[in-house]
This record gives sequence, C-alpha cells and structure tokens, in this order.
Amino acid sequence: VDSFSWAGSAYGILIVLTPTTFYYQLMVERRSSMNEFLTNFSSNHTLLWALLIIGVIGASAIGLHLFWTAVFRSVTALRGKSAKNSGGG
Amino acid sequence: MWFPNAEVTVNPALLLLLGVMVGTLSGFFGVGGGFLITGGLLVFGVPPVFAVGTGLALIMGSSIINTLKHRHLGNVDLRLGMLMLVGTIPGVFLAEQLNSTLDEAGIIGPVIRYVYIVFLGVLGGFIIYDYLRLRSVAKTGGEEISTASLARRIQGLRIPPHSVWLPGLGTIPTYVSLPVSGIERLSVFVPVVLGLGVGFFAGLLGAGGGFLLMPALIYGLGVPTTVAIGTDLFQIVVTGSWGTFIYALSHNVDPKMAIIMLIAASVGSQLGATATRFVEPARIRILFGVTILGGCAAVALEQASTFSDRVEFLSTLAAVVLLSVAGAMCLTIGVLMIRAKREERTSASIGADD
Repeated sequence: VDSFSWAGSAYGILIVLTPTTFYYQLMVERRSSMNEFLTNFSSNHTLLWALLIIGVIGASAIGLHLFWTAVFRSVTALRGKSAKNSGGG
Repeated sequence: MWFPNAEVTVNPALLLLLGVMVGTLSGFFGVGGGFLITGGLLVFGVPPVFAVGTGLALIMGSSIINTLKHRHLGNVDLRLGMLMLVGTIPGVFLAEQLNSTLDEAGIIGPVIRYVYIVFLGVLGGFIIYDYLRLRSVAKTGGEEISTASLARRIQGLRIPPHSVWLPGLGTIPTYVSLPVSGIERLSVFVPVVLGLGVGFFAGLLGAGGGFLLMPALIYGLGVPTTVAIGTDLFQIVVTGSWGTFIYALSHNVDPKMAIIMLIAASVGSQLGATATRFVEPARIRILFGVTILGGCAAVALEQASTFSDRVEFLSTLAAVVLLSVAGAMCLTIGVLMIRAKREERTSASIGADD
C-alpha cells in the first residue's frame, strides 16, 4: 500500500511539475528571444525602430485608455443596476 | 527584471510605483513629470541617457492617456493647443541650437540647472504667494487669481495685422474665439508667442514644458485651471512624441521599461484626472506650487553635489526629496478626492431627504 501511495504521489508531482517546468522553459526561451530581437532590431533598423517605439507607446496608451473607459462604464452600469434593484426591492 | 536595451536589471515593482506616481501627478497637474521620471530612474540605476529617453516615452504615453481622459471631461481647448503648437515647434528647434552651443562651451549642465532653479523657485513662490494673498482677501477656492487684470489686458491686445490673405481661404481675421477657455476674442499671435517661449525653455531644459505652460495659461491668459491642465497635456503629447522619436533614433529608449511604467501610469492617470473634477482649482494650484518648490530644492541639491566630492551624497538626497514630495502629493490627491466624494455624497443625501 505504501509503495503504491508513494508511486501515486510521485506520479502526481510529475504531472504537476512537468508542464510547469516546460512552461517555465518556454517562457525563458521566449523572453531571451524577445530580448535578442529588441537588441538586434534596435541596432539594425534605426528609423524603423524609432517609428516602432512611437507606434507601440501610442497604441498602448490608446488601448489602456479604452480599457479603463470600458471598466468605468461597466462599474457605473453595474452600480446603476444594483441601485435600481435595491430601489425596486 | 533584465532590460536588454538599457542593459540594466531593475525591480519591476519600483517601476510600477514610479509609473503610478507619474500618472497621478500628470493627470492632476497637467505636467509630463519628466523631472520626476528621470530622477527616479537614475536612483534605480538606469544609465542617464536611457533615463531621459525612456522617461520621454513614458511622458508621451501618459500624456496621451491623460489628454483623452481630460477631453472626455471637456478640459481640452484644441484650438488654443493647435495655435500654441505653431510657436512651440520652432521654439524647441531654437533651443536645440543654443543647447549645442552651450555643449560646445562645456557649460550646459550648470546652466540648465541654474535656469531650472530660477524658474521653479520663481513659479512655485509666485503660485504660493497668489494662493495666500487671495486667501487673506477672501475665503475662496475657485478660479480667482491675482493676475486677472493682466490676463484681461493680454486678452484685449490688438496686434496688427488684423487680417491676413491666404490662398484658397481669402481674407481671414487674426483673432479667434476660444469658448472652451472662456475667451471671447484673442489675437492668434498671443498663443503663438506663448508657445514659442514655452517651447524654447522646454527645449533648453530638456523637459515637456508642462510646468511652464500650465501657470502661463492660468496667470497669463486667464484660462480656467482644469482647461489649462487639459490643453497643456495636449501640447506635451507633441513635445513628448518628438523627444521620444529623437532619443529612439539614437537607441536610447528601453520600450520594455516604458511599457511597464505606462501600464502603472494609466492607473494613476485615472485617479489624477478624475480628481480635478472634485478638488477646488485653488487647491490644485497650491499643490502644484508646493510640488514645483520640491523640484526646485531637488535641482539645487543636485547642483550643490557637483561642488565637491565630499558632498556627492546630495545627488542621492535630491532624488529622495523628489520621490518623497511626489509620493506625498499622490497621497494628498487621493485623500482630497475621497473627502470631496464623501462630501458630495453627503450633500446629495441631504438634498434627497429635503
């Protein structure tokens, strides 16, 4: 029984750890390739790099503004709905 | 976290904290926050040239978010902003010429710091004097300023030519009406010259120019405080983008660092810009004055640290002073907003009871 439970635990740990390790390795690989891309692209394509930075920062700023506007609208709508419910109830 | 372009490791939590502070102050005061970002990044160990370049990228991003937010609140006078831009761009170019001359002479560092100290000291001192003077005359938290008569006189300036002929458009008057700013008639040359001056000093000091333009619009043109903040931010979008582009061309921007700080700044922006709806304009101005004086003290410490090797620690102290003032301001803004919201809710419930 003991050896069975040990094997079970080991199998369980393996199931949990294997994808985590794979995911971690994948993330590290992705991160290092992104770092490599950032360093290479900036030194090889100066004008494109400058335009890319302007574009990415601008698009991120607009995206973040839209995101927060949507969040505030949903919060206001939810509040209005709950106020209506409490008023009606 | 490793930042490949700046070749430095920085704790992302510190970047997020700096981003929130910059976003809050930028949304509340209508400034880019360049002095705060550069000072903060230098303390985190980012190389100086990357601190300025990445700071400009953050200024650009956070001013876009804040301009959009203030536009939603009806605080951006696009017509006034566009007219000032006509002067701002040549102003920045003129400053670049002077900067390279000063650089060749090897005196650019101290000159910039002394100009900064004088500007920040005079502006901060004047804003606090204006607040205290009006407070002693009457209990007011509104739009009254002690330079109202000067602003009216500037608005009433009649500068020739009173009309110009443009191909395709015919003869058009050189006066505009600015309803968002509450100005009935203004010569177009006034905002253009104002933009030229602000652009020149902003270019000379390597800043977005928000800390100069915001008081200039309020005390010089008589623009309401919240509209001055929104219009100022619109200007900073352009100056910040131009600065980012120039620094990116010389590979001195770390986009990864800028994006991390921008995400945090977007949170602070919501707080700062929304707070302008609840906090009285006079309070916004006095807080701005105190922040500017904090900046002045920090630059003075920075300059003092160059006098001798023994007092080099003053440079770190300068950054600490700057970050402390900024942190204290963010907390004050949060408290003022919560208090104003509570008061609004209380008065609304009293109104409902009546």
